[in-house]
Amino acid sequence: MIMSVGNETQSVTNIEGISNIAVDVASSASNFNTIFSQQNKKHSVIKMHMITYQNTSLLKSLLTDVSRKVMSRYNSGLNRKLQIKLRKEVIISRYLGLLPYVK
Amino acid sequence: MKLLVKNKNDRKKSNYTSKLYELIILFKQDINANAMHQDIVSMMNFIKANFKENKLIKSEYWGLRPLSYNIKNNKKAHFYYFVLSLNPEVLNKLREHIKINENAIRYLLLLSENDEEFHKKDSILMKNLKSDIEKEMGELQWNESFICKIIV
Repeated sequence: MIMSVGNETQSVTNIEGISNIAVDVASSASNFNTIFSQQNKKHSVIKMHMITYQNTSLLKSLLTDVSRKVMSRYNSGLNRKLQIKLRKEVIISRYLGLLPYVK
Repeated sequence: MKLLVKNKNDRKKSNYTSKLYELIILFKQDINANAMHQDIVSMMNFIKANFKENKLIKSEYWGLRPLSYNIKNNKKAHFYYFVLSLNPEVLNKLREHIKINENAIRYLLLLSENDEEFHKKDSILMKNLKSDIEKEMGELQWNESFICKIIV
């Protein structure tokens, strides 16, 4: 990494607290919207029998990362029928303690 | 020619048939295996005593799983899963029978959407458990639920 101060140039090494990871977070945030967008219908593979309260690994992928709410249809890319069933099954699995109410 | 006119209550009683239900019970984390075994056997005897139509189709033990939030000061719980064909008159009696038990933290009783042939296979959570063990251990080293052997 090269910083230009006036006419002089200084090479900055890796310092604690200042790392290149902070740059990667901003790039990953933009990728998040592209993966779970309506254009890329990634979740169109999901069928009716797959959405149950027992299949917690699938239900976790359909919750938001911030507050663990159910994703909207724009982001999940599901049908109307599947989205209604997802809401019901998440309520059951939350009652049993398999999924959290709030992160 | 006779016309048999029935009341609504009489019609209900005649059309009562057994349906499939799914029952899930969570036990305490600090419980003995013997005490848990006695609770389940008493529950199954209670179901059989009321009606002869009632029967157990499947029972699974999902192990001691971590809970995502504390339930009555328990961080973990023993999960039990049953599939029962019950006469719907029993349901309120069965709920009272489970509520009295102090070792059971929480329970849930659902009408199953699937047929009896579907329940002969393992459930989805049981498949995921076995696949996780196969990845770690290499081979399947899973003790089948001891309830299945004793009760059935």
